[in-house]
Amino acid sequence: MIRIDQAAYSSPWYSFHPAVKLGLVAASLLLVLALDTEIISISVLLSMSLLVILAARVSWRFYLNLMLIPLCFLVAGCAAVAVTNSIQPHGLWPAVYAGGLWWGISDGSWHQAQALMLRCLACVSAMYLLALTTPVVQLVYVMRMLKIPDVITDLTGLIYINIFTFLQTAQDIYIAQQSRCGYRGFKGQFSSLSALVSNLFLKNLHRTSACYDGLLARGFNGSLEVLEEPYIFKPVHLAAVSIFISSLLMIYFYGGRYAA
Amino acid sequence: MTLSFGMHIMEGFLPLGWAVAWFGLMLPFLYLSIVRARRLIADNPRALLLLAFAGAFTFVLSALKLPSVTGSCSHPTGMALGAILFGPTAMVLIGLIVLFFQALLLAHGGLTTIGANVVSMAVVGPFVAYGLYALLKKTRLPHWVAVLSGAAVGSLATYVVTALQLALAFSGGAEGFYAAFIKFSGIFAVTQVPIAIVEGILTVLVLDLLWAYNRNEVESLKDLRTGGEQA
Repeated sequence: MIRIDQAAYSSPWYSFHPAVKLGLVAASLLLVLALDTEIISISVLLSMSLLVILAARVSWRFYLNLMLIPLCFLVAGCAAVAVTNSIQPHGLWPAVYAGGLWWGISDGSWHQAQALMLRCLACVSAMYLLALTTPVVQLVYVMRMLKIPDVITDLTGLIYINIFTFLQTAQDIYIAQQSRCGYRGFKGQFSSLSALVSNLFLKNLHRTSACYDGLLARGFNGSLEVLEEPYIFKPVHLAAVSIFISSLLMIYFYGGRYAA
Repeated sequence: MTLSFGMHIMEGFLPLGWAVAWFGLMLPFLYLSIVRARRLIADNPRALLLLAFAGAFTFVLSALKLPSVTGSCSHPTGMALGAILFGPTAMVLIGLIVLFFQALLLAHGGLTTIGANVVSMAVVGPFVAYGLYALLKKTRLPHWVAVLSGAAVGSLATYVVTALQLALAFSGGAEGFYAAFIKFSGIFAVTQVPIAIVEGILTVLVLDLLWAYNRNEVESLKDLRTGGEQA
């Protein structure tokens, strides 16, 4: 039902050690944000997109769709950064006078918005590499490795499982409502949606109680003990990640010389 | 896949310094929330499942579409409803996990901006919503007024804090912080103000249905709200 999740489970990278995958993505995110130069953003965007499409075998059409999701925020946010103000109209285009200041796009703000857009796209592509190759269960495993409080890891695991039954319930209710002429008109949208939400709440609260009874009958005492799948750790993967990171650093330190 | 116009700050939008700063600001609230969750679970293991229920419920709400007002596709944050049902302290921990899933499964928000998003959506939003709701409930105003204003103002507070976060991060150069804040809040007001009102109305309708037919079930969540003191 959630296509990103489905892709993560069927990914060729599924059996790779999750800590290595997370390490690659976390290091890329950190480098993009810390170095904050266009050449690094472009390198990460290109390499992550290539990895997603060629190595992780996600169809480019689906990947492009995913990249479009944050587009609204990206465009609005970058537009807000591109528009700047000044006490005089010089260097602004189109210089509009409002509220005691001149507003418009200047050279500096245009470049800032451009760099920001590239940085966001680079970070989003890196995040997608993680989301499309690493199921949440594997991330919970890494969280346990990192000694993140067990309340968080237990809840993450439980919420993840619940999400799918909840979504299924919501979808069933939605279909039932649609087939009985729900969501007609403005008022109908509100009444149908609120009926859906309150029924979703009740149905799943009952399910949660039943689940608790079931766990209690099996000796539940507040923490969930699960068997972890063994992951194969290959030194080659670690080497590949370090080569990738060091080449990004090389680009940063030596690439700028020729670009400028 | 649909375009979404939520107020989640997207991945990579905040510079490293601000991303770390907001993450740091989130930690004390998260600590309080975890300490309380641990105590609740130690008292009664059922609390773990109720918290998981609250989290999944909030996540699924954010995946639903709101009645469209502005033509853009928007979704409820569910944080106000969550704050009234489960209490604002529980919402910090729940909000963190929900935002984590929204980033990974729905591509709303991001991993590096999760601190900033938790502060605006899971700390300020729920606490303002619940605070105002609790305050108005004590007056002689009808109950729905308390719920509506709590949910709508909570949603607006989230939006104002997000605009503040963006303005703080991007207020360099000639323009001051104030001008940047006007700019960001102006751009997002187009969608966020109608959404706040729609979310307020929806919260009233949902709670009405829940209280009218299933008061006992809602009352069974009382421990999560009060921290178990009255249990």
